[in-house]
Amino acid sequence: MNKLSRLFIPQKSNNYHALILQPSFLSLFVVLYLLNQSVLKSLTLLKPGILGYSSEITVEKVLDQTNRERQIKALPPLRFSSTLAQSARLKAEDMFATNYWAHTSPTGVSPWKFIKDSGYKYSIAGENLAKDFYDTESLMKAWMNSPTHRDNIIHPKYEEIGIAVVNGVLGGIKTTLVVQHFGTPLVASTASTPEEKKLNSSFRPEAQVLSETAPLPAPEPLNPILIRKIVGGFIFGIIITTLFVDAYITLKNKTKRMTGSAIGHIGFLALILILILVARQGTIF
Amino acid sequence: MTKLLQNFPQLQKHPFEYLTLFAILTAGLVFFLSFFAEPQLQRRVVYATAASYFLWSLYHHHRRGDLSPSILAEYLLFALLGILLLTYTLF
Repeated sequence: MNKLSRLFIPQKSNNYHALILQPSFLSLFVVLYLLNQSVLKSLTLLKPGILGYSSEITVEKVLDQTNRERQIKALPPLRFSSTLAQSARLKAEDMFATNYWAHTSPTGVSPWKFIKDSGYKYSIAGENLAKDFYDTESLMKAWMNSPTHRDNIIHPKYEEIGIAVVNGVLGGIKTTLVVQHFGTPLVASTASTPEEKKLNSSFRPEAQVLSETAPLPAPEPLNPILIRKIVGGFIFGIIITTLFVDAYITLKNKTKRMTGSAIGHIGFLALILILILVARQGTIF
Repeated sequence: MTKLLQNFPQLQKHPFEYLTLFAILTAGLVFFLSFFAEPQLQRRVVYATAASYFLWSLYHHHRRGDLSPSILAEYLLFALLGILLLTYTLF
């Protein structure tokens, strides 16, 4: 019991500084946390797919919220284009297959190639990417907070949109990629060509939405982000609690000691906690 | 307020130093939030804030006259833990 109290309570046997807060134990926490990351990384490399990432995002929700944002700006809603949805899906599948996360692939393939390959002739086009988001609300919030992504969503010249929500393994971790392809077809110049008719005949928003939102695979039992948060939260909880106990007892006993400032440490860790709580989830590109 | 400060003699003795720390942490928060959709820049803000926190400790303990390798290691490890917790959770 006495040994345990030395970990958390400042006393003579620990030089009036809780052992948890001393460099030796702090180093142990750093090593433990890094070890946890290494195990997660190794697991994803040795057994890809064992770590899951479940998402509630659907094409319907993304389309609905995108058009809601346009409605706020008094812009006409975007029509769902099956051709653009196909190009968005091709882009997502290419990112999984070639293992990259960018607008342009490592081999130099731009988003426009996927749009053109799908048979969509455009006068203007754009692309928004996102990954690792749990829900559509957070995803849309992140896009709307980024000037370049927002510009795509509320661009007055875009008339159509294609969306793909695709699950796969990227960098060894199972994730959900969301791709938005925006475009305005070259209607005037090609309206009477067979190609354009084919495009128009395949424009079945609802059917496409349904096919795009086929049930996602069942959530995996292990979520690497959740594991990181649990381990990080556990370490954070132990340290911050010990800091408060250590500071309270030291102040109460008016102990003179040569250690770091408890107020400084608490302030720094409080900032870290605030940033974790307020920061958005996922990544956009 | 004065009564509250009496409970924290360090704050009373070194108000300017703690105000500086408060400014560093607030700047970290403001910059992090202002780069809401730019993860790379947010990451740099985290590194800069942790580095500033460590530099503040050098200044603070130098002024107090108790700067030692053990104290430096303590701050360095706190800064490192903060970076790890934040970057592995968010990015």
